[in-house]
Amino acid sequence: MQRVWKGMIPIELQLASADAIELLASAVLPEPFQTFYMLIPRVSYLPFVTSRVKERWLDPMLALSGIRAVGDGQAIIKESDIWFEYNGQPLKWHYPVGLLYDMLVSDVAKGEAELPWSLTLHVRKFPVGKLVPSPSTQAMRDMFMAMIKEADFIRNGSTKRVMDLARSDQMQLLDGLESHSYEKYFAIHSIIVPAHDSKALASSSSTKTKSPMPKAIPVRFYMLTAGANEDGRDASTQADFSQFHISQIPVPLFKETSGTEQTTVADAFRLCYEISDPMSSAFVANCTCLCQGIKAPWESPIAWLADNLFYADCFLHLVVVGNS
Amino acid sequence: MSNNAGTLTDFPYLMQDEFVQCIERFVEQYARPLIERGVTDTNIVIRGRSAWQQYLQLRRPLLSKQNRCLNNISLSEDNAGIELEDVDPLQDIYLSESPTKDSGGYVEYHIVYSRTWRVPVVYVRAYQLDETGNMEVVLDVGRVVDLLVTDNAVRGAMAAVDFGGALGIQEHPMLGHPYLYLHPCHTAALLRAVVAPSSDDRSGVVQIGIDNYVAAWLSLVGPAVGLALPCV
Repeated sequence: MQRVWKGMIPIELQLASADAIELLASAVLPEPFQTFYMLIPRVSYLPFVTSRVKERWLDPMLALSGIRAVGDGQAIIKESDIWFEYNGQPLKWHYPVGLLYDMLVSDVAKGEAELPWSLTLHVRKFPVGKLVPSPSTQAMRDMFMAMIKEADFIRNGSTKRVMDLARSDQMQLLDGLESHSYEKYFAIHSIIVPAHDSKALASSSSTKTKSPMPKAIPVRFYMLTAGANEDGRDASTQADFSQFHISQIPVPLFKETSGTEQTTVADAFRLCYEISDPMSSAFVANCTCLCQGIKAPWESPIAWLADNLFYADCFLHLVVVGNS
Repeated sequence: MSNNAGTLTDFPYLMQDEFVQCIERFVEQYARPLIERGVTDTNIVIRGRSAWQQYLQLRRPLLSKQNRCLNNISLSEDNAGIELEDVDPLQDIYLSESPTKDSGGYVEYHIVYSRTWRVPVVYVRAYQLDETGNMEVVLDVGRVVDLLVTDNAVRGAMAAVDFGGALGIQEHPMLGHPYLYLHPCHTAALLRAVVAPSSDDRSGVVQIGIDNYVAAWLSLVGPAVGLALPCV
């Protein structure tokens, strides 16, 4: 998990020209502020980098141009007004950054990544009704906790582990997430999700596991529907959010038919989309499943993915795209 | 008379197809009484062939504050002198005695099935006319609570819920746009504590099956989102 934790997406930010014109009376930004580069962890979220963007780029840029960051008692740029856009798509700030990348960048499945990822920053005209409003670190923390509670419920049948955390532990988990500190985050994560040996699962002997096995694995599928099942996505057309069919399904560890065979990613997909024929596998041939930017073979056991490639909210976020 | 057809397999949880049956029964029983009380829309929306892709949609007018009575707390000027028992909570919430004081806005409720929590979850959006006469969606939790929740005790209880309160904002699971929603993690416990399942033959205790699940659930969570049911 530590390797996943360290995974980063290099971002190249440019300010929307309309905003540049409004703030600086020019679409061309002063040197050296024309672009801003940063690395964002795959498992992190956009609201956690917004203050860095503002402090290290926007505010100095305004200062260089002689513009005070605060006018008439109001900040010229409010963090809750900041939003990111890729190819005309406002980015959902409550999705992990790695998931956003896997969904929207069309060549990830082919192994040809678009790096750095070129995004446009906006500080005006927040797309109300399209994006959850008022992004902030506190709002992000609240949404994150809702996801982790849900993951706890799916794994353990109750939200007890999360709700029983001491206040200081909850804060540590969130601080660890926000500051991207593995030690802080993981110390609390291992209370919510006790480690168990997934090899022991393969032998399906519960006496060998260190702790009770989860009742089910929290999984969310993001399936690209435009031509996903036939010709695959046209490489020249970038995906947009509306083309994705999103659904969530708790996935049991073992197949219903046998009590001992582990569920695979393909089984989870069939369960989610209610494909009742267990042998139906057109999607296996026609589609690729991406997990943390990696192509996950359809026959991989879900339990292994859950132990190794989960996101910070304890969910497996799986993107399914058609093969081109 | 056997009640097996209406019995739930795993109360307080619902299987997917039970959810669909429950909302269908609800519409059969309550659509007319709700419409008579000012609800403008009660229907089942089908977004896909699977049971979990259907949801119950309710829409009602959003009244301006001066036409709403605060149940149990205080009465507006117009209604001074009316005994509390005479006040029909629905009349005050959904119908305006002075249509010109209507805000023109409306509230939409989507009752959706959650495959995680295996209970219904209510998603809500309030719409108001802004200064320029355009209909805008209100996506601020504080403002929505102010508009929809009339009981101060309920407001207090909602605010006390961890991680931002009982009402949160999330993407609608089928439409993808932001909606307010009531955190479902306590639903099952609430239902279990208050009612008894149909298979339990204890006379005098409320029996809950497919026929009245949604009504029972709404009676528990409705006040938090400004939704009240008429007696049928």
